[in-house]
Amino acid sequence: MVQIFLIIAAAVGQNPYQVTFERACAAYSKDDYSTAVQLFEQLITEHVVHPFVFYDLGNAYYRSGRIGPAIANYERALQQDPHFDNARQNLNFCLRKTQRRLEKPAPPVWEQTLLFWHTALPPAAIRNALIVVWAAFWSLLVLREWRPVPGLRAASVMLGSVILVLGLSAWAKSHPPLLAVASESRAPVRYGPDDKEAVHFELLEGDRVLVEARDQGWARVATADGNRGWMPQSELTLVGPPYEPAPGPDHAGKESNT
Amino acid sequence: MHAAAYLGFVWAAALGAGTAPFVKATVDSTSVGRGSSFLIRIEARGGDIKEPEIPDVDGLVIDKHPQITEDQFHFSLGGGRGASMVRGYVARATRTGKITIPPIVVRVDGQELRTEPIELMVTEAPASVRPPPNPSRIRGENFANDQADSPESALTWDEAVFTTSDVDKKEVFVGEPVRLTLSLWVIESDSVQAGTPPGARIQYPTTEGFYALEREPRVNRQTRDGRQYQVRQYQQILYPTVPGELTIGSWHWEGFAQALTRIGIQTREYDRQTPPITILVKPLPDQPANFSGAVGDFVLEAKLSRYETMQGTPIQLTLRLAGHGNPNAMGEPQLPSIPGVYISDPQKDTRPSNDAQGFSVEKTIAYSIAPVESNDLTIPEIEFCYFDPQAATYKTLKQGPFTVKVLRAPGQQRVVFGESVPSDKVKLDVVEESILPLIAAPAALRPGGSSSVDELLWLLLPPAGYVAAATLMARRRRFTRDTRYARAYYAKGKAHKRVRAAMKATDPSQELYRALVGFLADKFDVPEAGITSADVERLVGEKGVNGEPTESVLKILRACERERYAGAPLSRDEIEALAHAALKGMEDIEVALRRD
Repeated sequence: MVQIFLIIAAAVGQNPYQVTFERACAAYSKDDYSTAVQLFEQLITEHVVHPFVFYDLGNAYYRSGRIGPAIANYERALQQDPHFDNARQNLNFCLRKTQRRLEKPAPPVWEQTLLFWHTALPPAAIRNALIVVWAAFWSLLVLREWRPVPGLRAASVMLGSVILVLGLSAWAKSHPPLLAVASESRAPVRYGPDDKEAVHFELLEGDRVLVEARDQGWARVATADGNRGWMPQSELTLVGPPYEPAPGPDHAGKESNT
Repeated sequence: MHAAAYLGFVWAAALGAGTAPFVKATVDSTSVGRGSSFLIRIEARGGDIKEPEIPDVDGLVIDKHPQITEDQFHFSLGGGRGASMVRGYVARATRTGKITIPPIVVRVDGQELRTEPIELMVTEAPASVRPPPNPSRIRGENFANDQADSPESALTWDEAVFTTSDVDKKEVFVGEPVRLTLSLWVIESDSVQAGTPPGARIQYPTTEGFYALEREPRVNRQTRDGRQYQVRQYQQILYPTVPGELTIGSWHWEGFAQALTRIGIQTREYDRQTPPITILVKPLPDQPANFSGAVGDFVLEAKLSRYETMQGTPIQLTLRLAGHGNPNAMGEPQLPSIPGVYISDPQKDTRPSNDAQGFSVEKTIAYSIAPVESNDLTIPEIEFCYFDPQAATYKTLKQGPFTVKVLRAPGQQRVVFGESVPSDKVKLDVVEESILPLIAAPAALRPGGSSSVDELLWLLLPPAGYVAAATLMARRRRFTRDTRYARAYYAKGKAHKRVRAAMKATDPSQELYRALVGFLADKFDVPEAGITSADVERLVGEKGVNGEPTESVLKILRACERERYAGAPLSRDEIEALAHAALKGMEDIEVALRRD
């Protein structure tokens, strides 16, 4: 349906997402960062998943003075394209602006061990490779049905193994550990999901944490140095997927002075 | 295993010692060219064997002195004694046509044994290009060339195998390549073999003052003093690094040669040394300031990835330098300083290769250049200065300048680069530390994600295709293997065609009869020939198809039978009615069978 809509829109010379994107860029160039953020976020709400959009949204958040959502969006851009140098550069720049420069939580050990090779590959590349190998696998099966050729069984088994590995990789890419970035300047992390619980430690804006569980507006988070606790989800920007708008107060309109 | 084979051989030899006397003559080819040599081989076995008596043969010149001499003695377990003998004689045909070598007499144990006569066909052209069977005739320490027996063509061991070393230039500039060739010459002959002891490696001469690169050894054929040699060449490309008189040391080769001679296989050990070579190395003339250090012959190319870009968006400048010269001393072109741009560390790739002219090098240097300002960017001329030893002068290659149109990035008057870039590697124009600008031109944006319909379709299509293909092929296989199924499947279509054809036939009632009977035969998988209405009644009864469809079909069949035997032809209308009824009857029977 969306594609039909896009085809029609293209036929009349307008891609509504492109128009929104250009409006967002225009707002950004006029230093109207709150509008830029709003328009970029609108694209993401409409499920436009593109590393450039995340990157530009990260820029708009940075210019709005919100370094937490900026970091989250640069992370999203890198999730989509691990070779996106501009995003990496801006992410590093923003991380240097954070007060603690907390390390990013590492992926699970099994993923580091089994899928060490896929870190630098974009999810789309893995998906495309999976589709190609998948088609090749079934073609081999058809060939086996049609005419038995020596070595087809071994080739099928090999391709099947590759499919398993690529499938695991694609699944891991689409279900990454839920990363979140603290979007408040100071966010207390408590022992339990209740305001009455004692504060265990504090996150500062831009600190990246792993979300281990979510319960009624609270998130159990873990830092790279092993600290765990509960904090309101509203004080976090989830990197995703799914890609949700950054919550919290709107500080748009002012240049970062961090 | 080997021991058992050896024992078997000894046992067989022991038994053989007592076998009957035997003599045999063979030639290595019964078709020879006039003037070319061939070998007559005589084998004999027995107790006491005398030398063969070689006859004179018209049209052949036979050297009655044997070139192959082998004698073996063995003793049987029972105390008996035996011997075997092999003699090889070189012969040459002097006329064309058929020549018969008569039986050759060999006296064995006092008996006069004769070989079988041998027939030769001598042609004008040489029968083969194979070298003569006995290429060398040792005379003391000398070889004789096989093509002539004259004493002046005698070949010595030193002429059979020797070494040389030479260079292509004896006067060069510093850095100019000198090709050193070390050659091992071995006379080309089947019966002379030369080599180095197993595991020994080629020892190159000392080349102090040179930077040396080895090339792959190669083998070629050369003629020297009228003789064909196989020459194994080892080459080094030497780049002199200092001026003055430099010496390439002696090449020392140790090896051996084996030759089949009149008195059997002889081995000769060699210890060869070539004389040293002196090279005069001239200093380079006064060097210009931009001299890269490269000496040789080079080309320079420069390529820009785009001639239009946006502030902060890098373009790629690729320089390619290729040519012949010392890969370790060729330097590289330098990118001049460009104000207002960010220049990445160059990515370098050097690929040396080995071609007929010596060593060539291809060096690629890629820069990422990101303009900071929106004004047009000019990349100035890029130079590479090298010394050309052929022309004895310095040459400068130039590329550029290049002009790049730089568009303004949205929201930015000026792009700046952060502190993550190493300050010693880049040329920066920093006004403030900040983020990189927006990227304003993604491809057509559209919603998407990992669960998009396209990807789901791509995942489902292959298995669906497989199921379709597998079903189709299983069906084809069933049609091939299961004739009953195939007949039943195609029965209706086939019968319909036959009924339609019956209407146009000269004997329509009989064609109709055959169509109906054929349909039933196919359906019940029985032979069609000879089926009568009574058979049909029995068949359908066995299958449990009774009632109106059966009755209708039987009526049609009987009507057709009556027409045939009673001689009362049916009218056109009756035939059409029967055909219509037959089609309906077949349909009804098919439905009834399917129901059952």
